[in-house]
Amino acid sequence: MPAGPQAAPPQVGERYTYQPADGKPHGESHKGSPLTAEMTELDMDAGTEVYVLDLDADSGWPHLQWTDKKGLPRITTFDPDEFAGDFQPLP
Amino acid sequence: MTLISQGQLFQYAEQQALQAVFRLVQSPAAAATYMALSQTAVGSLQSTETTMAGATISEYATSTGYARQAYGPTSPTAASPSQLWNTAQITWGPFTSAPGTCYWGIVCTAASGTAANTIASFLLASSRTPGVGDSLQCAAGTGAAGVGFICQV
Repeated sequence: MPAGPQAAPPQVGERYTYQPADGKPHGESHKGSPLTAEMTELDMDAGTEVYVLDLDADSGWPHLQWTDKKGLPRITTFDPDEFAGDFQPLP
Repeated sequence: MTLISQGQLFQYAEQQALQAVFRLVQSPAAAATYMALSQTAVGSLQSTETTMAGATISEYATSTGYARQAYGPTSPTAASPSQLWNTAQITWGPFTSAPGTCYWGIVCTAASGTAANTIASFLLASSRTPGVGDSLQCAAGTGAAGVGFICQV
């Protein structure tokens, strides 16, 4: 069976938008159920703009820099396979 | 005995500080420092660890969504002892799998990688065990004891 199209790997220094297929915030999607109000406030919503800061020196996974709903800078490591499906590059 | 306690410099930073203040070498160039989270049990973290590869460091795994966060310290206070602390809230996560229980914050010299040098350790007021989807947050420092990550020399 031929492999499907390969999504582009994250590019350091590029900007992307978080657009998961299920439309749910990142943490809630992984938990599979709603988070507490406090944790929802700290979650990464669909539509969040991220910047690929660098790749983890050990695992090679991308470090995404973004700003949370409180206006505070965050860095979150992402599974590259998940990244390929959930992020769209910004022009 | 080389066990470390709250807000203490690691050996790497102690040497750098002494070299700088006694004019043996130039101080390190200005650069960002990063706060890591460690699962090492209280009483087991060794002050002789010079890198994040140390056997007693036990940092959270990046496969959980964890990443080191910028520390962003204040300028040292004009007081004796002198202190500095994190200027803003620091938040890790959201975690995509349970990362375990953390007991320590460790400031180091790089955003990732075990080659990063260790600077200082901070014992959390109480251990934290975030679940899937959770984030972990530390308050901004104010200079008051128990608020933020305060380092004192």
